[in-house]
Amino acid sequence: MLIPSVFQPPLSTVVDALNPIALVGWSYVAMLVATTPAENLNEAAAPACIALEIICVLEVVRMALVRLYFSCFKPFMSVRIHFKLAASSSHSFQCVSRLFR
Amino acid sequence: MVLGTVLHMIRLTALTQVLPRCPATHAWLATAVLGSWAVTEVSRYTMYVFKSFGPARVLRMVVPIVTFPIGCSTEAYSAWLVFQQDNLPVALKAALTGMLAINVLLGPTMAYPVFLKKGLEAMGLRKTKEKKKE
Repeated sequence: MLIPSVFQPPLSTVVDALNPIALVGWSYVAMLVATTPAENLNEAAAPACIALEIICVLEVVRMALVRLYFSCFKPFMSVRIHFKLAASSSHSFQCVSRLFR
Repeated sequence: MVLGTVLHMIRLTALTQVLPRCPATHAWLATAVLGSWAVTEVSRYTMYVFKSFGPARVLRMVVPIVTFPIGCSTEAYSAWLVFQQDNLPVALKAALTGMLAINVLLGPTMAYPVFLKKGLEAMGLRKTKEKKKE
């Protein structure tokens, strides 16, 4: 799915914030797998794995919400993009006023 | 997105229902299942964190070629061991049936060829579609 560039920075900021946490978490699970006896492994690793799976599920949910957002609010999306672009433009007044013509 | 949803449902079922009920004589299954997940996810998130580091992408594409068969088969085997136990709730039996169907039928026939193709392309052992067109 093509995400307009205006929405990319906040979206990737959220994704980037979760990724290092997940990397450290899964590295911890890998360490547990390597060091814990098999009989006790599930008990030791399950809480961390469930927490990490929740992060993964959140990623899926977020992608679903983004898709829903873009499919439901597409007409309004273009207005928001123009607003954002207009705000960062030196010709902001002309751009914004053009939207309301 | 569908693949992700199915994958995480299977993992949560395995974590909360299957692995805790596995017989003590098959404790090695937890090591195989959790080990394959951990190695896969470490390679995946390494690519996400170090986006500009080329080998991280190759690693992410190649690792599932090895870890997927291990994870998929051991998940299915542990689900089968639990499925054979007595006095299981009907809902759990249904979930295990779905898990077995996905891991035994769909995983090796639909998911693994995609991983294999991507991995071989990343290693340069198979031409990408774009190269074929040229």
